[in-house]
Amino acid sequence: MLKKEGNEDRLYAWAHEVANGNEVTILAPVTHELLAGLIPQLGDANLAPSPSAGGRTAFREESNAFDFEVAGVLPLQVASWDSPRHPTDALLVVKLPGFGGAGHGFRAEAGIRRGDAGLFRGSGHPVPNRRDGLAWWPASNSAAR
Amino acid sequence: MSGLLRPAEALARVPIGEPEQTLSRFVPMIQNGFPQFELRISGHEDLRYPPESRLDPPPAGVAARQRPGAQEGRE
Repeated sequence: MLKKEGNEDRLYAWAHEVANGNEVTILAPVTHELLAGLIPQLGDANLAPSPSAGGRTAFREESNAFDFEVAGVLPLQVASWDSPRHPTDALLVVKLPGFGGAGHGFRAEAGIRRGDAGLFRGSGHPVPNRRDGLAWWPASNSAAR
Repeated sequence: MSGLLRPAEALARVPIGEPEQTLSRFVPMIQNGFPQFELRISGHEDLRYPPESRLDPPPAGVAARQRPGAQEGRE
């Protein structure tokens, strides 16, 4: 949900419930830090054009040659608090760790699933990961280093 | 992101009783996922968190868009 604060559109998570004569509204700002921390170390997420990038990242430093970054992009429509009939197009950008740096197989698998909707697609063939025992190897070469 | 929806449902369905007790139960629960937030309960009670919040219920068109998967930024 985008809501105007002064001259800026800011991104909020929200919930609204009406029951038993009560109306409850909760509004919480969605920051880069909040997105990055949703699933710790899974990926570095941001929503373009808002909120702005910056702040801490969910990743640690690259540790080996296979520890490269993979970006997934998911188009979204974000509702507007001020203009309900005019949702805004936005992109959810998720930067995922490469397979050499994945802490476990699920992180790489999540990258493939996000990639299906975005920039790269995986083969689904399991290959050994030098530290983790199981990972998924990308079939296409569109995963940018 | 059910961290907002479930408290909102609970707050709307359960009698509030003592506002301070209600807030003391729900605020930490919401802050666990969303460190900063504003809350407004209207109807039988008029309750705000933080007390200086000027949050109003969403415009009718926004509230009408609420549906599974379309709230809390999940659209």
